Formats: sequence, C-alpha cells, structure tokens
Amino acid sequence: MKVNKELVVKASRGDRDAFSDLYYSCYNDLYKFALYTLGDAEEAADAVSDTFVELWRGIGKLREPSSFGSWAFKILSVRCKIEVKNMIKRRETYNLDDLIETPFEGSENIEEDISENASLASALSKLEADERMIVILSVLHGYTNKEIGEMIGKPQGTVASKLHRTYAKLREMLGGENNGRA
Amino acid sequence: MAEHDEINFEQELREKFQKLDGEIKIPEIPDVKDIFEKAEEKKTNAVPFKKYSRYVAAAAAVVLICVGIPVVKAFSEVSLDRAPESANLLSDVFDIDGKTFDYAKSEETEVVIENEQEEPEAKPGNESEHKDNSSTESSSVAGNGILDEDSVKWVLANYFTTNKEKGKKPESSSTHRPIDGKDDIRTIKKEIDENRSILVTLENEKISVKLFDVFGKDEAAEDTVLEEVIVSEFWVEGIFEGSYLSGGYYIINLVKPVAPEELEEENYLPKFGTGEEENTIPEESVFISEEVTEGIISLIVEINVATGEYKIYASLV
Repeated sequence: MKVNKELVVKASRGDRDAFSDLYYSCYNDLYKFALYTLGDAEEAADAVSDTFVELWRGIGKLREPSSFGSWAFKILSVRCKIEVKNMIKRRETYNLDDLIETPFEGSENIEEDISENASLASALSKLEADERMIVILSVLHGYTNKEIGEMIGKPQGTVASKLHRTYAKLREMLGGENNGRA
Repeated sequence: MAEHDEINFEQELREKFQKLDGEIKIPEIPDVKDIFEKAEEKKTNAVPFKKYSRYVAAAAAVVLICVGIPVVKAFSEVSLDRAPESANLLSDVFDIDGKTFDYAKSEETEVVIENEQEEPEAKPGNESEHKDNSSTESSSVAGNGILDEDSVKWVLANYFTTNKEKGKKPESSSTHRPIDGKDDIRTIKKEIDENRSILVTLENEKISVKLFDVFGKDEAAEDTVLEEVIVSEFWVEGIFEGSYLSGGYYIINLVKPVAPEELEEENYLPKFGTGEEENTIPEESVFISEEVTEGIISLIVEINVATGEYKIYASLV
C-alpha cells in the first residue's frame, strides 16, 4: 500500500485535510484486505471505519511515518480477528458473492474470468483467517514475513511456516503441481 | 523441473490474486467526516476524571488501607507455582471501546532452530569430508506467547481425551522408488544445479539429508565419477510428505503423528541432529493451530542450498 509520508507527518500534527487524503488513498487497499479476511462487505466496511478512527486518534504518537501502512494493517488485522470470532459465534459464513465482481461485459472470456475468480474466492473461503491475512499481505502487498509477523502478532518463523502451508493448500485446491514430486 | 513448477505456481497465484483484486466490488467510500465524528464521540464518552479526582483519590486511599494490607499479607504466604507469563505479550494495547491506542513495537522474538555451518573447504581430489553440524537454539523466549495451559503438552493432552489413538497421518501423495527391494528405506537424489546435489533418505519415521558440492563437472567426461563433498548432513524425525526446490532453498515437508503413550513418556516432540548427536525441537518453538484436529506435528525443513544451513519450522495441527 503506497502511503505519502508527507501526509502522514502533517496528519500527525492534527491536519485533518492531510488525514482525509490519507483516508481516501488507503481506503481501497484496507477495505479489500478486510473483505478477503472476513468475506462480508458490511463487516469489512465497519472494520475499516473503526480502523481509521483509531488511526486518527493515535497518529499523533506514530514515531515513524513510513510505518503508517503496516500500522494500519496491524490495527485492521486485530479488528478482523475479533470480528471473525464474532462471526463464528453468529454462525455467519464467508460470502463469496461479496468478493466476485461481474467482469466487464465486453470481456472476451467472461465465463472463464468468472470461473477463475470464483475458484480463487472459493479457495480463500476454505483457509483460516490467519492464512488469508498472511497470503494477502505477502502476495498482494509484498510484505516480508517479518513485517507480516509484526502486523498480525506472530513470530516470523510462524508466518513463514503458515505461508508455506497456505501455498500448499492453495496449490491443491486450485489444481497446482503436486508437491510430493522430487 | 519441480523447482520451475513451484516458482511458476507462485507467479500464477500472484497473477490470479491481482486479477481478483482488480475486480473486487468496492462500495462508495464513506465520507471522512464520519471518521472524525466517531473519534469525537469516543472522546466525549470518557468520564471527566479531573472533576472528581479529589474524591476518587480519597476513596481509593481508604480502600487501600482497609483491604490492601491483609491482601498483601495473604499473598506473601502463597507460593506461586505457575510459570511466569511469556515476555512475548505485545506491548501495544489495542482498544475497542474508547481507551487510548498506544503504538509501540512488539517485543516478540522467535525461536528458530538453526545450525552453525562452517565454510566448506573445497579441495579438488580430496576424499569426501564429513562436517559436523552443531545446531543451536536462538533466544529461549517463546515465539507465540504460550502459557502452561496453551503449551503443546496441554493441547495434546486435551486432544487425547477425545481421540484415543495416535494422531492421523494425512494421506501421502508422494511417490518414491524403493531401492534394492527394501520398502522401508527409500532415497530421493536430486541435482539442484551443476554444483549442488541433495540426497534425502527416507527411513520409516525419519529422514536423513546430505547436501553435496560436486566438483569437476565441466571438465569431466560423461562416464567419470565426480567428486562429491558433503556440505551439510543431518537427520530429522518425521514421515516424509514431499519436497521441492523454491528459489535458493530446498524445502522438505514432514509430519510426526503423536501417540498417547509418547505424550505420557514425554517423548512427543520431534528430534533432529547429526549422526549420533540428538536434539529435541523446543516446545516453545512449536506453533499451535487454532484448532488441533489431527494430533500431528507438521514440520517444514528449509535448507539453504548455497550455505547448507537449515531451519526447521514446526506446528501442531
């Protein structure tokens, strides 16, 4: 997630306009992360909204402006973990419809596109919340295992282990190469 | 080639995610004013402590005097058997209902079992050398902040109250050739590149690994037996599940199903070592899944093919 450091510095001094710019520039990435983790559009929007409230309230204490992005994901991942537990209690399920957008009508391979996205969304729904968070932060956002560990509160080695297992699971579900081959 | 397939899969996955990510339905972004208003609401909900502070302080002092002294006395007579909480609890406090979020870096450290590897002394023409790889543990602080009741032992004991049998080994999908008609010992020999090859020997519930440095391939004739120097040699307890090359690392997946009697004998943690030297994976380095359904310890052995160093990641599932 790209963050303008100057905006962070200004926002940390109480500049609402600067924080507004940060909000609009980061919202989509944070929303999609929450959506992948929770599988529910409404819950994802609430989690992101609460996250930004905490970001605004705490930004004055942020020591390193360049860590705004990872800090935001850290707060959001905690929110998401709490919400996952609540959703389990309420017996709510991962809603694939919230993930999949109908491709542009002019798409040449519209059925193939829908099918590919549906397969991936279905595979995501079968992962644990932690695994979804780790794979999204690694694959889509390019964070290192160490950075991810700091965000989600797990040791780097644990993140590496989980990422390996998640790749293996996804490979199996998406019909990738068998990892038993020598 | 397996390693190319592995790299290709990761790249394909990245492309699939990026495609899905580009087509996710994004609702209209709520007005940022809502954020500022909510932040203000939380502020005004706080009780104005300053107004009542004098009275609160006085009341607190009375309570402390009446209650505190007998409590302190009682505590001093109690011996605390509990293990202290791990120092790995996150130092930042995340709040939901109105307290201040205090941002600070986590103090967690990890326990990763690494071997100390000497520089291989490559001398063409010498006989194969055996290197002793001593493994050392890093910090002894627990990697996932576990307390007694969340320890591997406790979780396994819980698991065995409802599952009386040994943990379930997943269906293995690996295919290997037995050698010399012996079904219980199998080998996988893989040429990693022109200078490195690896030999993994599978023996019942243990694997042995040898990483070789290969000399003279460029000048050798086709039928020449090449010199091989052992760069790294070790063994790990576990049932082989699969292996593959990923970037500069050779990855081996193992599982160790745990039996109830092994737990009773305190012999439930996987072992590893070189030759006769044996080490046990520290309990605090084992990651515990949110839900343990199989009663097995899953292991990932990651071998740096350039240096011979290896790391073992363990998780209880």
